[in-house]
Amino acid sequence: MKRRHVLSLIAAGGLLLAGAASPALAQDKVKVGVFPVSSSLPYFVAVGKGYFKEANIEPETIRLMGGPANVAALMTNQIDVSAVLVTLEGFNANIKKPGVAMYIAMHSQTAVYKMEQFVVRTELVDRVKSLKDFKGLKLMSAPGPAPLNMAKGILARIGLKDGEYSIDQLDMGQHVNAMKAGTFDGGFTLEPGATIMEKMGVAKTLEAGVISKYILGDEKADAFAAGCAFTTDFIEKRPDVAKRFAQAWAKAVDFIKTNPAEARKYLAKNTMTPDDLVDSIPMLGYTMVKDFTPAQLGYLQKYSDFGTEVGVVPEKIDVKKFIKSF
Amino acid sequence: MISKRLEPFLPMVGVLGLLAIWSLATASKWVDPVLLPSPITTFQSFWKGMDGGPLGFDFVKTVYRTAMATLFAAVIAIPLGIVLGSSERLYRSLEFVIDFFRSTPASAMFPLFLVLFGVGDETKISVAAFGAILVILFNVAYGVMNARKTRLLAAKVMGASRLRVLFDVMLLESLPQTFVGLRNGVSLALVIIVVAEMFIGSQDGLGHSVFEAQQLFDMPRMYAAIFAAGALGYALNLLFLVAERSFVHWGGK
Repeated sequence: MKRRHVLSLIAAGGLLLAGAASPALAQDKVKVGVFPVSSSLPYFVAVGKGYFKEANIEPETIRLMGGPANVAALMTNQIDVSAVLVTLEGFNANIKKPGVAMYIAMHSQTAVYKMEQFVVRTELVDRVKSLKDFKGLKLMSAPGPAPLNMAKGILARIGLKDGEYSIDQLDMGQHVNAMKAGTFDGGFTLEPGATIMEKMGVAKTLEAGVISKYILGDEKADAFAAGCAFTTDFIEKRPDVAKRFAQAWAKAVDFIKTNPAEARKYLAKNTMTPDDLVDSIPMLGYTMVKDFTPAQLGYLQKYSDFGTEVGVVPEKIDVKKFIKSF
Repeated sequence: MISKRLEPFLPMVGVLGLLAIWSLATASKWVDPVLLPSPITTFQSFWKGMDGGPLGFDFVKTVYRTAMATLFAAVIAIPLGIVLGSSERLYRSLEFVIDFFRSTPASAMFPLFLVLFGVGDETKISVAAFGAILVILFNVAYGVMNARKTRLLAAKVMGASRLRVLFDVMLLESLPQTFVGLRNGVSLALVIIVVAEMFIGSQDGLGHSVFEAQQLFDMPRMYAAIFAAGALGYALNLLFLVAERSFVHWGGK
């Protein structure tokens, strides 16, 4: 290579570096706690489709497994946003520290937007036709007081008392194996576990959308079990960035609604969903809080009140205090 | 020089130091008080839980599971360790398996034990016993293998049979090392039980208590359960230490 070529390359490199360091191009950084599950789909879509970049936002993904880790990070301002936080856990955290998790979007679960469901082992399908047939059986539940009490609450609503069946909470990673080994007869599980079980021929869904039907009293009612939450600190100190982040999120929600098949592809590389199941994992009813109808707000309040009834949310709250429209 | 009369209080220095740092961290709000409550709040929760509350019940359940796991482990590992230790060739032929599973985290074995024993106490006790067996076995076998040659030789010279040498010399010689194994074994059993109570189907126990309190962000209750688990581990270690001193008072070399 000739000397002048080397010099021109150095000069071009220098210009590129100068350009990258230029303040005009600096993007607003937002720290996001990401629990890699299907509920976080709008985040993956917004990153993948470049919606955050368009809004001049550079999200920093911090992988955090489960609610307690996300809440601890929100409380200490280590993250500005939790991409997905279980609603009852967020409300509980807000009682301990008001405004720590302000929901800007929520994900609805119904019989169509499947997430929580009761499953039964394939061998017992002929015997167990409805939830009432769980009497005397050995059940498993997703771990944590919220899912466990939810499962017990639903079974109580159909007349099965605690003791007429046994129920043990079990780590989600063990659900498929435990059903395959016949350790349990059925249980209260979440996606993608239910789809995996069904594909493997281990278990079948007995009923999905059970929170809507039995807790909210309407099969079509939106059970807003999880959502995207901002810290009050983020909303108050960087209102413009928070607004742009919410707008990018809304754009991702629109994309999921209009192109669900394409949106699903973002689950493959971002979550623990097996590649061959990406196309069959049910979608959730992703909704921005600003678009809530009065009926949907009522469902959210009813859901929170049920959390209080089963002791997961220690006191009755007004859910309007913990949602934020952009 | 510290007065002899004050020596028994030396362990309190560490406790007081820990409490001082903890109090300072919460009083000065280095850590959010919601995430780290003060020692007083934590001990109030501990007392409330132990005095007829659910923590006392969870504590008893964990003690029961740990005791059962250690008992099973000891009953299996001590005789097996003596047999393996008495023949170095036999031990060497199984050394890989022992060391392999001794190095495998017990929590990685949960799925296997869950499939074998289902949920319930059987799984938790068996997986903890499995972990403890290997630690006790390893120590007992090495205790037997390292029995002092002079004593073995003396017994043989005096015409003791192989069986008598095994029980009267090797077994007693291995006791100090056996107690080391038991102390490690009981600590490991407690750790595995608490982890199992957190992650494989459980309705009670200290692990369940920690997990549930964490999910509900009831931090005083969570730290109270952690404290109870730590205190239990300390007490069990002390128990075996006292037993060792009573049984192996002749063990000085």
